[in-house]
Amino acid sequence: MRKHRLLYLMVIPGIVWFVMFRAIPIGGILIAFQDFNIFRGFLASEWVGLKHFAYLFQYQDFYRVFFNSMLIAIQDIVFGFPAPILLALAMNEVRLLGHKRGLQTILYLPYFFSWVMIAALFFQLLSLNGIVNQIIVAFGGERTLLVQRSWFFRPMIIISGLYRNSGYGTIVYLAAIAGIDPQLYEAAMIDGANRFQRIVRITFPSILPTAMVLLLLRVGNLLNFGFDRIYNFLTPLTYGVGDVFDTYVYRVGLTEGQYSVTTAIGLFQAVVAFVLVWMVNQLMRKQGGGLW
Amino acid sequence: MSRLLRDSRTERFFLTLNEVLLSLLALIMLYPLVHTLAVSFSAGPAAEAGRVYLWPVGFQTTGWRYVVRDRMLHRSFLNSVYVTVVGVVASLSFTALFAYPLSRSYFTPRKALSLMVVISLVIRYPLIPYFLAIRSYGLMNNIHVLIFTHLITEFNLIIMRTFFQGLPDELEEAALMEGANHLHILIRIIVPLSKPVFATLGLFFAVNYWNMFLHPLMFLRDANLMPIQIRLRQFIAQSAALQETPGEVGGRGTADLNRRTIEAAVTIFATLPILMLYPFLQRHFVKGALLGSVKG
Repeated sequence: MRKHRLLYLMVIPGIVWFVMFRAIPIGGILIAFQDFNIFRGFLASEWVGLKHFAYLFQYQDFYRVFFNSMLIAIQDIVFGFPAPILLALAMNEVRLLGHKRGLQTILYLPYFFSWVMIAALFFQLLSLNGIVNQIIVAFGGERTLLVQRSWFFRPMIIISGLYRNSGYGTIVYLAAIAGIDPQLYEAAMIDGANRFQRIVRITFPSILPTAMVLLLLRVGNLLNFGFDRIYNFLTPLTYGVGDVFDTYVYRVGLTEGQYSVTTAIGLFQAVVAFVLVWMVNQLMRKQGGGLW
Repeated sequence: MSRLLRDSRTERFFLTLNEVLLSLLALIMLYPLVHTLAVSFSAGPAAEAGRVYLWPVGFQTTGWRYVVRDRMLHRSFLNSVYVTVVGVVASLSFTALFAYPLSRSYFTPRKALSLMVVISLVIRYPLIPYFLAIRSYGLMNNIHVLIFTHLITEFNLIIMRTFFQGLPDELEEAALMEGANHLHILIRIIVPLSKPVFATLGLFFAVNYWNMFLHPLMFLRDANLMPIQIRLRQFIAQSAALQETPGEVGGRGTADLNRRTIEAAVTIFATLPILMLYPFLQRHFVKGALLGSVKG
């Protein structure tokens, strides 16, 4: 015991960190039940019970933001989840090793760009004289500033997400494919299975467990969509469709100082996220591997 | 036998089609970057009119000369370099210091602390209380807030702990017998044995620090402290605002004529470190993406 005393000292900075940057902020959720006043501070602010929640659930903005968050998140899963699987299956059939390496180098790159950078790249392409408008005009359409069009906001978010994440997302699947026993393929070939049958009957089922785990994790993180990703594409003209919890809380809470109401939103978000993660974990446990 | 293994004609057709389509996809993915690079070296009016595609039109270095001149841009670039370099070292040290005791089976509070980490991973801290807490620590407008808040990420901590658990105990036992303490063991034995995991996590920390956006937006006010991403965002927001009121564009002289090339040059400039390091790092992040799938 004595010779391990240093271990106890070593965890102290980490514990202090967790208390300062995780525990206290989570405990600070209590200001959702206060009329928090920045000058009085946490201890002297007035307790108001569920006032802010009552307000919230009658408030139209809340439903709009909730609807936007869910819709974008679900669309992101519908398109963003299968994309790396299909891409990995396609890349696995590339025969020239050099070609495969080159493809990987290009497809993984955008994952390392910041969302500011990705927005900058997209704004270049989507400007009035940009290539996308040139294509629209070439097909007889009308030039329009797509970044400010409500109908284009969600597709823009989904496409930029695909651009950034789908290449990188193949890594896990390609590793799963590399782990498949080659004897399976040999046996299938002797039985006369062609390439498509081998993909459908061997490769795809082999990566399915990995895919299920990743899908469940995505569902668990449904509302943790990420501030940067939306904020950098958002303009006042697209608030109606583009405002999600994170951007709304930032704008109304931080820049307008309505701390208590937005903390109530934060609490709602945290509860929904927790319930989702918990359900996902129960499901994964049944299949033999929960997170806890 | 050999006939069985050979692909049929249709199969070979589809294989070729597959490679063509993938190459096309790669070209589309590469296009925005190459296009922006081309714009950054083009003449302002050509860029504005959308006549630039993959190669500069009316070659000019106006955009890059702007990058060389703008002091605030250099300032924010250096801020980002500082935060990234100091941040990676600090985060790796801090994470290792916490992960090592958690990886020792004879360290009794190990279970309770691991539970704390998992809880912190599952319960998301809400933005406003997080902001208010950090402000109450007096960290507003202090560039180190970007580092303090990212000394640990739960995910990287779990990865490092799991890696440490996999290392053989014998060396450590021998060192303890010889009178070495745990800090020595961590620095002299564990860290050298864990170079690959340090490289991989260091890369992820570095990219995270370089691309950081929400934290400086929330906690920094002073323009001198802003990291490069915030500065880049200002350029884009300005230019987006100009697009809303095209009537004003004509009145502002050459700066507006060249705004698209300047914006493109700044965009590339802000991403240069990532573009330059990328070829060397590829090996590590492929490993890192797989580490992420290891159960904690």
